[in-house]
Amino acid sequence: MSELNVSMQGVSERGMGRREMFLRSAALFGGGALLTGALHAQSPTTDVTLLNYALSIENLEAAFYAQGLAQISSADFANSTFIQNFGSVIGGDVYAYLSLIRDHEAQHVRTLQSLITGLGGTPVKPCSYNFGYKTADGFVTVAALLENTGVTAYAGALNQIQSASIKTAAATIATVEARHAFYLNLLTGTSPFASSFDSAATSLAIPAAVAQYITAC
Amino acid sequence: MTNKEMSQPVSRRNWFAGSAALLGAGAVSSVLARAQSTCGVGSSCTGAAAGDINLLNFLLRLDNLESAFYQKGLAMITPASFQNSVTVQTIGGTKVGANLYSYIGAIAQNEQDHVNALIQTIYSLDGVPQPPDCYNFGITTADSFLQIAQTIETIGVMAYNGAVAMFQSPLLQTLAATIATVEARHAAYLNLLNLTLLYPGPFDTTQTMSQTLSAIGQFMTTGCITQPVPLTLALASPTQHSTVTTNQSTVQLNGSLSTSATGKPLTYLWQQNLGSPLVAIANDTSVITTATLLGGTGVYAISLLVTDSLGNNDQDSLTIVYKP
Repeated sequence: MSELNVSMQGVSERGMGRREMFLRSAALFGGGALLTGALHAQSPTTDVTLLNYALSIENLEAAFYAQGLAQISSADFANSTFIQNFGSVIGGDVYAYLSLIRDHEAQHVRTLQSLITGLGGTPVKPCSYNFGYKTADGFVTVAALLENTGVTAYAGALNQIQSASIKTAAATIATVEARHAFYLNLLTGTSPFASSFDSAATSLAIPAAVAQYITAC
Repeated sequence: MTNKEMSQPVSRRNWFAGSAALLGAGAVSSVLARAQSTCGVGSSCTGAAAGDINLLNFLLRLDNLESAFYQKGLAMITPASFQNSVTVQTIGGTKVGANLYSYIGAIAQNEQDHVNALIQTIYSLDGVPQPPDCYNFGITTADSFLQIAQTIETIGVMAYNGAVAMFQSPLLQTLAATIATVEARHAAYLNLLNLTLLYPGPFDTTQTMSQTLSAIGQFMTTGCITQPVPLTLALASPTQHSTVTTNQSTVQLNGSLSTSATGKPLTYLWQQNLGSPLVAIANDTSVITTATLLGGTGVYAISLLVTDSLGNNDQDSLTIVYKP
């Protein structure tokens, strides 16, 4: 199992190195595919509305990670309560994995903005937020709520999207949010596979549990 | 283990006879033909629905494989073997190892729930669910199990993401999307265990149906006896597969626990088995009826055949030892 040990040692560095590559290729592939779909959208108004709904959630998520990871250090995460008993491999990667989520959310924001603009719409602007956490433990609790909300929001909006390629793009973002959600559920000690089906939001309103973090808009 | 041996209601179904049991393209064609032929009169089923049924059967094929994989692994690998695996030892700490077996069990349950939901959805569209394939997963140790699981879950995410937008029905798009995200949670977990990036990029990738079938081909084999799609049958009284001893010449027969995965109405047929002493069944097509044992002291055998309105059927039997 020497391969595993090598991978273990290198997971942060190697992973993050590959991440840069993944980000670039995903931006090219994802963005390109999305824009092609946008040209064929039959009902730009509806899709713009739905995309702005997704953007409003992504804006919130992106601001959350940007703020939190600027305030909370890698050492704070290492000393947090949630990380106890996870061992050094998982503990050592927490900051890098949260940073990777931050980068994903920022990329989702940029992709949605360009899609909306491409459809002739105006992307919604970020609001002002107060997420209320004081510690690394508080941060991951809010993060878990946001990611699980993201999954539900995408699953609910997805079938209303007219453009097939935007629909697929939404599905591939939803599964990434679900991966994030798994990780945060794991960290916070929430059963990660309690439900065989994720729930789908029935309304395009931002859920109250998340809307509470918006202070001004 | 067969379904018959489980304490739950029996799951069995007869549908394709003989050569029609061949899998793959033949079965898909049968599904399509049947969907089209049954959707004409008094039904809203259209050509689009046939396409959706085809997609559902594709996803069922994948989830059947996933479900079988976890059942097989959990039957083979003990909690201690997981605990002592190189995977768990390498990750260290106590938390991951302590939760591993229950998390794998939860994933197994998720996959079985996906299978059941897909089967019921296919039936609700008047389609015919594809039976499971034969598998050879090559599981040898807890570590190899967790590596294969990673491969399978990763395929699952790509396959579902590729299928979502292909459904005509918005409800089925949502169903597929809400399964896709659960598969993604699984995939992230298996990536974590195997020290691979949990979420490699801001967008997951998609796979076409043929790419997926090609990717899972490595786990397919032939020559097994496939487990049919469930039509559940349970005798309420005497209990299924039971042997009862009585000194009374009349015995109540009750098939009311029988259910069908199709949700279609059931008909009942009570029969005296070959070789049994003579039995008179008061009403052989009633769900509840009475058997009168006419042959004196002996061992009687009675069976119940249950058939739903689509022609799916299942059969169970009971033994009565009569000592007047």
